[in-house]
Amino acid sequence: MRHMTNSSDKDQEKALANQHWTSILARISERDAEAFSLFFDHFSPRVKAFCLAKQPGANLLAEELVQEVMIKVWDKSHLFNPKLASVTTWLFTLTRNCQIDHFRRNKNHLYQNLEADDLWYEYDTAPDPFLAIQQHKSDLNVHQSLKELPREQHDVLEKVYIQGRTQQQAAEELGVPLGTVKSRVRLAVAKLEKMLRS
Amino acid sequence: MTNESILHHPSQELLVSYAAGSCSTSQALCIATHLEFCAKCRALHNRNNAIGGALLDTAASSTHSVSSINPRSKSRVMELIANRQTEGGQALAPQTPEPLTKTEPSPRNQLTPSKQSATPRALRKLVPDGLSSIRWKMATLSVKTSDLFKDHDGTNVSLLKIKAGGKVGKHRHLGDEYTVILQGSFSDETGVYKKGDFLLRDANQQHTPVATKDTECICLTAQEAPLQFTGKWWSVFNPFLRKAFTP
Repeated sequence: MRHMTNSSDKDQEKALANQHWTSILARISERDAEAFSLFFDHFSPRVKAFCLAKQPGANLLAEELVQEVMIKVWDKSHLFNPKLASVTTWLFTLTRNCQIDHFRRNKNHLYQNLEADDLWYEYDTAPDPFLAIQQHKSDLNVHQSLKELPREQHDVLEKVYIQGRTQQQAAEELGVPLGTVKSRVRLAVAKLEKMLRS
Repeated sequence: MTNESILHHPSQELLVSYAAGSCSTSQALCIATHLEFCAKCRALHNRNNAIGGALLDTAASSTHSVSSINPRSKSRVMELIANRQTEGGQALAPQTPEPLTKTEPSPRNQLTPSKQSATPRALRKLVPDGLSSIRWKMATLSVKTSDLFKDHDGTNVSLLKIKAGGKVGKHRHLGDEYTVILQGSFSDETGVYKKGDFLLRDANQQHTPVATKDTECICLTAQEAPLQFTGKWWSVFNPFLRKAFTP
């Protein structure tokens, strides 16, 4: 807990930033192009960097994905529910779904017109308001907690989330058995859970 | 749809793969279906999405420098949204016909509200007329199947209907098999499985599922490889089952 003040300052900062972008998204849902432009300027370089981390050097593809993701932001801004997720979490889910669709279209892996939005969607069950607050708080605190994970657990999460590797591929790239990757993932989420609850 | 009595869930690492988008289509279908029944896994999934959100933020700011965007990308996007705005009446009617609510008022849903509400959302495109209108194929005396699709890794995704009290002969799996129970229940040597339960049977595990006596059991299954009956009498079905896997 040596970074107590530091980390709670960071949390505070994240919460304020999230509030700001939540209100920007509300304006976008009212078809405010100026708000959208602000959102684009702030988040599109992040989405691009995230896509490049998965396919280094694929600059054109990353630009294309940024465009797709940002159009989705415009189209779906009215669906953003600040009680369920933070702005960056919501943006992550849009980016993930665009990446999945892009990959499948390329490889001809589309079945029966199943798109990512058909299999990865937000669940509309309204959570208990108290749980919603908890969820929201933990969503923002994940940032700090991720930094406190042991390196090897953090690396495995990065392989799976950012580089989009299956656990089998992650095992091969890290040169460890599949069982080790699985247990690192389990340990990482258990640890995050514990940090978020404390 | 939420059922609090669900006892069998996907593993933590499978839920993480799903949130990360690094699992296969067939696995995603099974997990999404389970999530509709299971509030506990939905909460874990939300947390796993939050990990993705935090990584999206840190990936950009720490390990990789924030990449600059080609100004043409922005002008293209701004132009597209401007076009959408001028298409008229868009202010309160955004483009995407994807409401968050499950009650999509399409004519089909209105005709068969009860059938549709029983079909998990993840299965709606695959089973547009609901579970009760599926055309089943006889597989064995007590089991009927309906193929949904074949995943690129060869996994066969199908629905399975076991008649009330019906027995699936003792068999083993030659690859992993994912099952989500949509209706009814069944039991095998290891326990009783009910609506919403998620099961993963590893290659070579043997079991003898039996549907509960009073009601038929409908499951969604994703099989990496054909199953193989190991009982003497049941093994006559093996050639038919292998045939289902040949492209």
